[in-house]
Amino acid sequence: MNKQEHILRSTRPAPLSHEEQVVLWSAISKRTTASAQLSWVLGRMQIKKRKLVAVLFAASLFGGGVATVYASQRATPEDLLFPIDRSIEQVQLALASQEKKEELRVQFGQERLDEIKQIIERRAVEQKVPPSASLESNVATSSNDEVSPRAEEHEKIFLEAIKLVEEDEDGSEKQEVKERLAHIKQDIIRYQRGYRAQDEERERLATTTEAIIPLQVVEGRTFAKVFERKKKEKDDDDRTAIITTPRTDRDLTVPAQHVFSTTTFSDRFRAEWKRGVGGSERKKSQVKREEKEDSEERRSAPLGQEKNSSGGSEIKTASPQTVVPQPQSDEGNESKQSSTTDNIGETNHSDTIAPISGQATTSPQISGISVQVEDDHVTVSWGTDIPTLAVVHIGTSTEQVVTKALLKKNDTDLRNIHRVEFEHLEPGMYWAIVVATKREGGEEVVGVPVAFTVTTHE
Amino acid sequence: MSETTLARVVKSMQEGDHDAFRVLFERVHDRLFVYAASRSPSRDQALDLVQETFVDIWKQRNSFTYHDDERLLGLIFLILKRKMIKRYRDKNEHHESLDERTEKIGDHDEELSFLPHYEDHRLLQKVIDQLSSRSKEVIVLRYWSDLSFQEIAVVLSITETAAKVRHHRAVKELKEKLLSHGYE
Repeated sequence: MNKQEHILRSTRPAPLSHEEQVVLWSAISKRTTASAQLSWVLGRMQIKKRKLVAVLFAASLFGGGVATVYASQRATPEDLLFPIDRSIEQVQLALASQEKKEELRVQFGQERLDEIKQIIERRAVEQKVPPSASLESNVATSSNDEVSPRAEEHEKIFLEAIKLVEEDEDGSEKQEVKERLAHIKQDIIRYQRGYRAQDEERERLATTTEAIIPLQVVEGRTFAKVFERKKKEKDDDDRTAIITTPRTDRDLTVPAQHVFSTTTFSDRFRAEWKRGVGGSERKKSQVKREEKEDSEERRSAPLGQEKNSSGGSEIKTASPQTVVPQPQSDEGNESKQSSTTDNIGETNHSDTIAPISGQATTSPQISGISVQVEDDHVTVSWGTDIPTLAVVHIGTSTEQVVTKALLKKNDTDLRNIHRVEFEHLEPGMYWAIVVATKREGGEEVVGVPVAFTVTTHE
Repeated sequence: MSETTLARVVKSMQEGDHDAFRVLFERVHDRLFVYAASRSPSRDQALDLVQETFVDIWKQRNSFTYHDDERLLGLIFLILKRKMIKRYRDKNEHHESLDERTEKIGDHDEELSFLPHYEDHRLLQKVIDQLSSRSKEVIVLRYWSDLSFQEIAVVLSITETAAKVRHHRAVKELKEKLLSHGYE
C-alpha cells in the first residue's frame, strides 16, 4: 500500500466499536436464529408427514394452536413459552426414527448452546447501555437487588441445559453424537463460568461505584458554548466543527460517585498524586525536553504538586500555542483572561467529574491528562492507578470524539504512565478523550475530555 | 476453525451452522459498514442496513453458489447496495457509458501522486462527499472497503476493466475537485 492510498484510506469512517458490534450481532443473531428454527420446522413438515403429526399433536396437547408452537420454537429459556419449546422437542424425539433421533439430539444441544449465548449477549448489551439516560432514574434504579434474581434464574437455566445435554448424551448410541454433545456441554460450562465471573465482578462494582450517568448532560452545554465563542471569533465555518449538543452518548459515562464528590476532591487528588500516580517527575522532565518558550514552564508546573490548592482538575492544556485558554487550563495560571471567566466557571464541572477516587475499585482511574501542542505535533499523556491499555480519540466535537474519532491511537502496552503522539493535525480546535481499560474487551473508563487548539505557524 | 476459507464457511452455513455465519460476520462487517456509512445520513442507519444485509445473507444462504472469494464478497456487497438503492432512491444512479471500456487507464501509482502533499483529511473527506455518486462509490469500495477491482466489478455489475476505468475517472474527478478548492 503506497502513501497515497493510505491517505485515501484514512478518510474512512471510524470502524464499529466493540459495543456496536455486540449490539449488531445480537440483533442479527436474534433474527436469524428465530427464522432458522422456524424454517427448520416448516422444512421438516413438508418432507416428513410424521413430523407434521408430531407438531400438530404437540399443538393440540397444549391447546394453543399452531401459532403457539411456532412462537414457542423461538422461545429462549427466559421466555414464558419455553416449556412448550421443550415439550415439542420431547415429542419430536419420541416420534423420530432411531437415526433421526441422533440428529435431533445434536440439533437440540446446539439450540441450547445458542440460547445461552443469546442470554449472555443480551445481558452484555443490557449492562453496557443504561436503560434511561436521566440522572435521577439511573441513580434510583441502579442497585443490585434488581440483578440478583435474574442471575439466579440464569444459573438455573445453565444447570438445566447441562442436564438435558447430558441426558441426550446418555441416550445416544452413536459415538459421534456423544462426542458432539460432550463438546456442547463443555461450551455451556465455559459460558457458565464466564457468566459467574462477570456476575461477581459486577457485584463488586455495585458496592463501590453505584450508578453510571452520562457525562455530557453537563458537559455538552459547556462544550457547545466554547465552540460558539470560537466560531464567532474566527468566523471560520469550514474548520469549526458542527456544533451538536450531545444528549445520550452512552460511550461517555463515568461513575456517578465522581460527580458528587466535589468537596473531597482536592484531598483525594492530593493523596492520589502523592502515591505517584501522576508521575510528576516524568512530566517535568518531559516538559524540560520539549519546552521552547518559558510560558510553557509556567503552565505545566502546576501539573506537578501545587495544583490542588485551587481545587483544580487534573486535566490541563499545557500548550504554548493555545490561543483561547481552555477550560482546563485555569488553575495555577495567575493571568486568567477575563473573557473566558464564565467558561471556566462552568467547566469546573469537569473537576467534579474527574475520575479520581480514593476508594478501592476494580476499574482503573485516569489522572493527570495533559495535552502538549507543538506546531502540528500533539502529545497526550496521562497516568492510571493500575496498569492499563488505552485508546486516545481525537475529534472536533465531543459527541463524535468517541464514536467517530478523526484520529485514534492505541496504547497497547499495559502500563501506568502513558504517552501517545499525533502528528500533522490541521489548525483548529479539538478534543482528546482517553479511554482506558484493564484488558482487551474489559470495562472501559473514560477520561475527562481535554480541549486543545492547534494554530498555524505562518 | 483457525483456517477457515470462505468456501467452507458458506458450506457450513448452508448446513445450518450459525457459528459459521458468525465467522462470516466477523470477517466482513467492518468493510460492509463503511460502504453503508458512505451513503447513510447517520451511523445508526448504516448499522441498520448492515443488519438487514446479514439477515438476508442468512435467509438466502441456500441460494449461494460458491465460485471464488471475489464473487462471494461482491455478492454480499451487492445485497447491501440494492438495499441502499431501495432506501435512498438516488437520481444520480445512471447507466454505464459506452466509452468507458475504451478509455486509457493510467499507471496506478502515478494517478494518485497528487495526494502526498495533501494531508487535510477533513477537506479530503468533504471533497469525496462532493464527488458524483458513481465516483464516490468506486472510491469508497476501493479505499474504505478494500475491495479488489474484480470484487468491485461484481458489486457494480460491470466488467473488471470497466471498474478500473471508473476508478481512474473517479481519481481524476477527485483531483479536479481538490484543485478547484484551491489546493495545489
